[in-house]
Amino acid sequence: MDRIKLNVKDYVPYAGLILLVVFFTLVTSGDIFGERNLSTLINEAFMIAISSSVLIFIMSQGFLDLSSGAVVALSAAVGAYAAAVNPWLAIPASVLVGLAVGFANGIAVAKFKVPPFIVTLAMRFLIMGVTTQLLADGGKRVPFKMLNWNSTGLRVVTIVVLLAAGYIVFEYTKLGKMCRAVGANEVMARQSGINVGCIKITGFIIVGAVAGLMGFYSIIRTGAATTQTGLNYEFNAMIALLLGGMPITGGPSSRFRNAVVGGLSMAILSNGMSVWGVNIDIQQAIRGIIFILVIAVTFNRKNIAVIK
Amino acid sequence: MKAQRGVFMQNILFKCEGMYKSFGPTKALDNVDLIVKRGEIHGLIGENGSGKSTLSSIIAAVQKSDSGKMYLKGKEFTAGSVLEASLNGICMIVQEQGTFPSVTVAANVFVGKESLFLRNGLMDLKKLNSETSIALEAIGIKNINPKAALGSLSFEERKLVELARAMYVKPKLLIIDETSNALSIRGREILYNVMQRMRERGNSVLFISHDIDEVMEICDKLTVLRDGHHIKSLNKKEFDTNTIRGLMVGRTVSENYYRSDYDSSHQDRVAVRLNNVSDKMLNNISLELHYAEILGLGGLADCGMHRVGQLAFGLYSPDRGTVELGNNKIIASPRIAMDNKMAYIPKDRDREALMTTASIKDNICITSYDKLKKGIFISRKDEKEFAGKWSEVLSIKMSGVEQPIMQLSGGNKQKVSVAKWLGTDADIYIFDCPTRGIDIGVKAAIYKLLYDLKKRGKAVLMISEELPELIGMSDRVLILKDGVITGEFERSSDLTEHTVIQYMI
Repeated sequence: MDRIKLNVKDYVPYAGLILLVVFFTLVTSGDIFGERNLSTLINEAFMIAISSSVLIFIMSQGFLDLSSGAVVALSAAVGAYAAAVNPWLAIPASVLVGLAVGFANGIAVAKFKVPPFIVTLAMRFLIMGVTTQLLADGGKRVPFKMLNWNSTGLRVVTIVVLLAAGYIVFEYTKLGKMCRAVGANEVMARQSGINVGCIKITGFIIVGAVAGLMGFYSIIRTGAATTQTGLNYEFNAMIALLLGGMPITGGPSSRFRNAVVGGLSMAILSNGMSVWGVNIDIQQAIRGIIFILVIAVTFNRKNIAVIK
Repeated sequence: MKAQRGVFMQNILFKCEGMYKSFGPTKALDNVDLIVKRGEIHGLIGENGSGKSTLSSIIAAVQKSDSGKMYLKGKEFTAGSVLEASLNGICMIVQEQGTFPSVTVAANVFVGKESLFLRNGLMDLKKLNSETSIALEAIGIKNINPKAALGSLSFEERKLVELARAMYVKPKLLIIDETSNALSIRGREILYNVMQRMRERGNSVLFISHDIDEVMEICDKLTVLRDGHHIKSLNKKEFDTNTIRGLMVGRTVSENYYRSDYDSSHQDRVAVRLNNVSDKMLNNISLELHYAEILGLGGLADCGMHRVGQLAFGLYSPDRGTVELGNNKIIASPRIAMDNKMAYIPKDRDREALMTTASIKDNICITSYDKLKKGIFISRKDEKEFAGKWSEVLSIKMSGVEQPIMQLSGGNKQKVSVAKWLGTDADIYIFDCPTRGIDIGVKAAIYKLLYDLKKRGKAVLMISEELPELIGMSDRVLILKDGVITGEFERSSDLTEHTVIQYMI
């Protein structure tokens, strides 16, 4: 009887995904999956699926990261400056910036014991300040030939590689299991010989480095770094995981499929609203409402753990 | 169908009939009847998961039964809330914490009754505090300040505050759920006095406990539950330890489940050594744990013995002195302890030992991933086999290794907590209160395991608040008082609780 109950709960996110597909197919008369929209849809899915499939490494620990959207913007800006020296330099520059910020977040959380919510919120403002300084002229263009690097093929390969890696690491290695253990019970984790600080730092580094990489992908797509780069990145990822059935407090019930199913749902929702012609401001409002609704429905209030 | 009896005997205070309660597929109560007479201390006893806490919480209206009828003073009785039950004279002291730590003692005693102290819309704190003192003194407590934050009190004091709160409303039926476990001798005296007075005034107590000896001593009548069934009610003259034990587990249990030998020999090789260790709870503690030895560590709850276990496993560093392995290597972290084949089974299962929302499999495997991984990968199949193997070794009652921990009884949870360490194949085991809150069947299994570990040459440090098990199982017992070792006893048939207890208090 218990097993049946569990399964029903597991299928809710899939039902939600199907519902979104059907709904947006109907209201856009199929345009959302039409040839003209396909590359936009893939691009939307690209960012959201990748961000949620790395965010899972810290959300499963019960943490949030509010800084990663700002990291995308900063690494895009730094990448654009590096590209002015040598286009190839943009890749390591972007990734290293993200990695460094992730490391700083991790240290503040693990060593100085500041709650992640506070750390990453402060980091977000700090980085936004730096990015605005770097892009004082309103944006930084990259050499034109870099735009040729961008292709749907590259994106598909990247998403497949990153998702496969994320799936294996999260489900079948010690790191993934440790993340869930920290989310389940930190005291237990420490007493079981887990280096809890190290797991926290690793989680933030993964999220930061991939946000850095996404900064690079965004400059080769748009040809410039702007202060708008990375907008909504972290919120989309958070809502995606929640839509995918992940508890906001993390823990043992976190599964990698939460990121995949939720990422797809969020991509279709996000892109579907644009294709349907919903006003951009109203889109934001809808995101906010969905965020609250998903938590209101899924948050286990018996779980005393405060969101960190 | 039972017909309601028209005439109640005058001396019956409370009665329930045909109580059913299920949680999902588990039947917690199955057609349970209970009669409590006026002026009676009625013991309710049974193993974990027998339904005694469920029954008592239904009577106190903490939860509702699926079906069944309750009668109070001959009238059918239903209470929608704890408050309503307490207005009808039914009060309960709960097993876990039932108080609010961040407000004062006074606010805790009069929670829900604040309007008694309103004057012109403001609280009369003076009156609240003085009334609290009266309530505390009424049950014989003098040294608790009504203005103190409840959280600053010890566990025992908090329990006593809860007792004062319940007694203030002059209940007709007081339900006490496994409170005495947490109390010292002084605290128990206060509790027993309160129970006596209830009886003298013709009121009744429903007393729930694991401790057969305690129940036999203080109860007038007792009811045994097993697997949600009412097994038997016994009168005082029918009380007998073996009979009760047999009724609780459903088979005869031999009187003595401790080890029967008095051979306290062990290896000379030292497993763990503490050299002049001091910190905020300990004062210059030195001890040596040997291989093939069960070293018992006893004392009152706050004597520092739990701290010794935590230090030995590297969870904290001492302010002065060293904690080291037999080879003089310092145990600076749990990781170092584990790498040197140490295991630590903490006292607080839910908070420290287990992931309650995770499966049995995840909980057992957590300490053994290094052993389970091939390259960097850990396969589901290996995890399941591993968890299955160790659940079997400890005979964990479960529907499968994927069953969530929170569905298990206390005893089975403890088995999981032990299994996760047995699986690491450790050589040095620290058990902090290994039989806390578990039933006789599991207790016996744990004692057998401890002895097996010794026979296999493992070092065992057993920290315990229970003297009988310390005396019954240890090769050597150390007693701590206020962070200092006050006594050391070799295993012997002459060693009695009476001798040991003098070094504790």
